[in-house]
Amino acid sequence: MKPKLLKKMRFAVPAIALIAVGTIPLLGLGPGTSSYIVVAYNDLGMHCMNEDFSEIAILPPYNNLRAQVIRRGSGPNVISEDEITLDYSIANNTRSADKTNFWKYAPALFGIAIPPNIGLGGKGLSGSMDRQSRFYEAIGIPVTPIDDSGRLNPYPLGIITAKLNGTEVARTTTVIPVSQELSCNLCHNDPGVSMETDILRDHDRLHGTNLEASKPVLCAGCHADPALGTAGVPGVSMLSHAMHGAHASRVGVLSLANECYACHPGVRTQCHRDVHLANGVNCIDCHGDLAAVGSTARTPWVDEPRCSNCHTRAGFDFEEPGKLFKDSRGHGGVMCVTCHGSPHAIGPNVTAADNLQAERLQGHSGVLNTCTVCHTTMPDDPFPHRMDD
Amino acid sequence: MRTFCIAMLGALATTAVSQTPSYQVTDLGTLGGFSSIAWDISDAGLVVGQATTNDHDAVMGFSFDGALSELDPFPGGQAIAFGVNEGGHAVGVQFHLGDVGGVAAIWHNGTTTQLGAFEARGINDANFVVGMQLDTLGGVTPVTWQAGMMNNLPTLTGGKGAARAVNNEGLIVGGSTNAAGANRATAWVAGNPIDMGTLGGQRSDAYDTEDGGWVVGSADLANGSPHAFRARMVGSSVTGFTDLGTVEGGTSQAYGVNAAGDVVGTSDWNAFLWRDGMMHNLNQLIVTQGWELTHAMAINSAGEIVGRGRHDGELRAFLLTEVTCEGDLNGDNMVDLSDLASLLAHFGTSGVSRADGDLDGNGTVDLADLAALLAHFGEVCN
Repeated sequence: MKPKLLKKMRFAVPAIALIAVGTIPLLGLGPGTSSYIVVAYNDLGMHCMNEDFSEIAILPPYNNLRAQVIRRGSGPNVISEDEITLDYSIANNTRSADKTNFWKYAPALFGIAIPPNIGLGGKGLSGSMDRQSRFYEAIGIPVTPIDDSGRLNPYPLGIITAKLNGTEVARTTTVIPVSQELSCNLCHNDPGVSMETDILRDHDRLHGTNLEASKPVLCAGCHADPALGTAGVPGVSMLSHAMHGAHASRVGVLSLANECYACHPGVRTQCHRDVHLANGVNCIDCHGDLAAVGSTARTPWVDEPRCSNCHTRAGFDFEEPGKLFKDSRGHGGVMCVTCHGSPHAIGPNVTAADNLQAERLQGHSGVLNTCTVCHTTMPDDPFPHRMDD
Repeated sequence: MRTFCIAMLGALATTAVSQTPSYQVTDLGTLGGFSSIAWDISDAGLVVGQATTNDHDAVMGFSFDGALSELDPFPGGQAIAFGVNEGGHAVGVQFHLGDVGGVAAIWHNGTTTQLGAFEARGINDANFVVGMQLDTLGGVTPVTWQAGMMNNLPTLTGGKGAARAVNNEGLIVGGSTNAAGANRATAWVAGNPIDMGTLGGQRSDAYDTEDGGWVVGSADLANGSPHAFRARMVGSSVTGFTDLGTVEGGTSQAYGVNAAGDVVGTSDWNAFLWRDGMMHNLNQLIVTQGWELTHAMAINSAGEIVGRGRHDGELRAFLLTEVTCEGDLNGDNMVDLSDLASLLAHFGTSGVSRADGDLDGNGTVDLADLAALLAHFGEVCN
């Protein structure tokens, strides 16, 4: 019995949100005389997916793109109105069906047949974004890290256009990060069998299951996973607890500089690529070590690092109470991510593509801190980093 | 009794049956990493592609001419060789992970020539290169390069495009967007873009051509499902735009075509060969065990096919060479009792491969297969 995931996943899968800021003309620096800008972002800063679903599915292709449209003025407004529509596409990445066998195995894994190149959220590689309260989103874009040329690119560029009654008024590009670098084969590499079979055999041997004979296996089918919205099987540990807990004592043998990259992308992908990395802040500095992340006291995808754990500054607010950075707002309804960038890709970034949006809007990378990006006249008052502003 | 049976089977062998090709699979290996993909093969048999090294799985271009060799390394970066011509010039791109775009390169006899800021995909025998230029605004522009000169190709009305292959007659194929923003298979004839159409849907794309004007790619049906197509450019006219079907009823995509009009590609995660109006799952035509062939990327005039698949679970580039020993199921160049035993063990079963005895590729081991084997029983092939 495969879980019916579609409805839950629409809200639960932590793919990637994008923030893109755009102007017309794009080639110029700053918004110029444009009346609107669009800013897009990805909610996680990286999304992992399997390439081959014939044996194991950990995560499907499922990226989340979000955007805010700001009507510029002396008092700018974050808007989401019927007259404003947003479209998205991805440069040189217009199809996925020949890049992964997800669609072949989706019925067995997710209990639903999905048209090729359409994701579990009903979105394709291009299309329109859905209007929400003061932001727009496209949930579950089934993008892969393989572009139409066949080249590996975990940082494909999303193109977002905002239209007012069908006429383009703003545009931007932003990274829609996705990687298949799960690297299980660093350890699961028994000769003569696939990595996936090796994993299933180990699971069968250690836990008395019979998964090798049950392929394809959705890990979250038994292990509850808030990322996929699955309830799992009662008595079976949550996926995050199981994965981190089981591997906490094992990945050390690899002697990686960053042990998280034994499973998360990765030594090659370098999904943590932001200003924190540049300042020597690594995964475990915010998330804790594997044992901490695997603790059953932690609710996966909910108990996440908060900016205010480290950042303290008199008069500054950080996340909204009860919300994560990626979902918090301030400064008149602007998402934190809109100005700062996605988690793990908070500007300025090591990767050039992640800096393009800020560079185009304000002439330099990093946090969007140039008031005239949104304000047509320089505000008299100093900028308060507060939620109630 | 045994003599009697052999005699009876020999009688069956007098029934003439047509045979589908069968293939020996060669694992092209890697450059020390975990994976490899073959992208193209020349008529002379030179294979190019990409393979990972032991440097955290960085991708580097390779050539294979009996042995795998790394193309001139690109320190600190990565490279892919997408195409090769009869002069042994490999063409592709050098890049750093996460780059938007990259630098096109030609590799030849151990030297690298950088061509400029674009991604080179195809090259003809006159060293005329085609490809695409990506910019940081999400734009994609089809380009050509020859003798140091890079030029943009015009696009359809949508303003974007990518050139992927060029033949020795100067026909260029690829994709370009129309006014509605839909990508369409495009042929550039004398530099002018021609919308090749679709199979009833909105989108299509072209991936390869050859000197006779065959063009292959994928095109959407009215329901949006992509199917492999083959068409032929005659002057500026698109002729014979044909839906090649699928292996399992899902989707398909054609990546390569040779002078005979044989087409290769992928369908439902199976590498396929389309010949004489029939799509064959290549997994059912191989005599080598341990392979799952997923993508056939190119086919040359000798019928050799390259692509990617999984060999004992590892992502590997493959080279398929046609087995000339008819009736030989296990690839030992003899048609003997072990082949007969394998066939008889699967007699009457469906969903089997050529190695199991399905010599005519109809999905079932039956009397026609038995007759085909017995027609060559006892032969030792060179």
